[in-house]
Amino acid sequence: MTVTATLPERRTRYGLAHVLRSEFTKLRTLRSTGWTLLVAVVGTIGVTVLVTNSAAHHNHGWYQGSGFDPTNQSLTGLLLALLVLGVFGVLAATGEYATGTIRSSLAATPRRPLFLLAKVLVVGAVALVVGEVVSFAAFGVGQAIFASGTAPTASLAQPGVLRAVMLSGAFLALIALSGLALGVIFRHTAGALSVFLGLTFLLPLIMSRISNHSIRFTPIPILSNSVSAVVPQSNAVTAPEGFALMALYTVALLGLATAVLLRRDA
Amino acid sequence: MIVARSLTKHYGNTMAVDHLSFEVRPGVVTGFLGPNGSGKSTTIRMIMGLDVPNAGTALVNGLPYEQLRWPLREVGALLDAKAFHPGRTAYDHLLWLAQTNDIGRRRIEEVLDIVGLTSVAGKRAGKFSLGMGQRLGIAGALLGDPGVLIFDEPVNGLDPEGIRWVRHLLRALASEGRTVFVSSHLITEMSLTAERLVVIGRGSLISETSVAEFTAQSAGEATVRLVTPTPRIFLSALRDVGAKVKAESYGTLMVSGMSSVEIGDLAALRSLTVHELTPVRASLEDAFMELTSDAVEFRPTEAHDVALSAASGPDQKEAR
Repeated sequence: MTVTATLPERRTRYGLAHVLRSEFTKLRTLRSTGWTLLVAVVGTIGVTVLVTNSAAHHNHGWYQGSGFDPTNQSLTGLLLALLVLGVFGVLAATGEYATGTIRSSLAATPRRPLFLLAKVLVVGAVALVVGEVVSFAAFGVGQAIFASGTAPTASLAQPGVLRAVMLSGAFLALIALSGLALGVIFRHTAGALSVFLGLTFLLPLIMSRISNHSIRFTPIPILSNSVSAVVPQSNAVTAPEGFALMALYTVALLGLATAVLLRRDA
Repeated sequence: MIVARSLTKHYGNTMAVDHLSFEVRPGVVTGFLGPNGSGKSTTIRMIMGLDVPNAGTALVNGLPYEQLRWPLREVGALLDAKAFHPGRTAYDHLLWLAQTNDIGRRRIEEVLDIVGLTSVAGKRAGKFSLGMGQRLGIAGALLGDPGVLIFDEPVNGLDPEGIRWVRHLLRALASEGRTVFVSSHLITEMSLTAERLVVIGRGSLISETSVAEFTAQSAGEATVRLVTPTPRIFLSALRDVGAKVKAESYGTLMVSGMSSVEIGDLAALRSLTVHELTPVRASLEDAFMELTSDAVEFRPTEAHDVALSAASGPDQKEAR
């Protein structure tokens, strides 16, 4: 039996580059990754087609007022991408706990902050690419449909439009990272998903009955009314403020996730 | 080399591991023996840096696990039977593991070959049998060609052929000068595989010894099986002369503290009928049970008693 290996001697130590490669392999080698991201793109474009087609051909009243924002209108479907990319982030963490892979991971990379950093960078990068792709695609498809009717259209050259489209894509990456943090904190898929859905979809509904004024600080209103808007909306923070706020939420959740991961037995 | 010093871990008021100290040396297979729930897995997780001890330290090659420069090249471990994502192929599972410690793809092919999974390397691991899952786990442990190997219950779920294979593999690894630490709750399995033993019960060290010593120790008091149609009378006769007697079933007594010759003489003296008189050596299992009997967490005492009295005659209660 040959158990002796052919490994070259190393003097250095395992580091971020190794763990990054490993984490990317983990994502790449699961079929669910591809399906999830495909659903995010296709689903969002589907919603975009329905929404923009309705505005362009059936509900002329929508754009005859002064506040019509074709950019914002075409990015409505990103709500679906938000849901799917949040789930994607949650599963990137809970998948490890559910299967026991977390023990293999931490045995291979016992420096836990390094492990989490690599996961954050890989999940964040993948979600950023998908977020930008889906955001630009939705904008393009939406404007094409507006152009086929009589509705006004937006172009990326107009002030604020490129910013809205790009920032919306980046916002989705923050959502995925928040999901990842919740996954690490709660470990169980069902629990982490419930909290994610509660914070994104339920919280604004509940808060609207308590203080309608403050729902502008919650994730979905930030995306729909601030980040993806070109025409300023009422009861909304500005796009940069909204994005910074979401970044702050994400960093806070990731900080909590790091603290929990460091203290907890695997 | 693995060194545990006063390792202690409690969960609330439950003491899982209690000031446990031992050493695991290279070149031999060391069995980590204890009943289920005795703290073996917790100890192994503390060695691996997965669980943080409340007190004490565990060092691998002189360092805490977290400080190893290339963990997988120093320590290979099989922790859970199925510590992999069921949706990933065997090859891809080993690939991400290998990448963390900069191990090349050639080594993946090698370990797949060693554990005999080459032909199913492209299959999703979720479709694997328990035995194949164990083999994949072992492949992961061997990936970094480590000098220290830790296996938590490696033969669980394996068929006889697989068990033999693991036994050979462990001994081959040890003969190459590696440190091999294997946990099991099966003493007979350990007596076939291991050379040294660390025996624990309820989280405390019971014995740190060689298998040979353990066997010699445990052979301990010889017992004689006595079958007689008059167990009640025989029982009091034996107790009169100071023997320890346990009733095994109605008409069968296990006698210790007396040789078969002495019992035969006693029977002749009192004109008692003997149907069978057999010296019985305590098995390793008995020894293990004896050693850990105070340290077993969950014991089906009640059921055992009920079964005995139900199956026995009126004489039985006295005999016990």
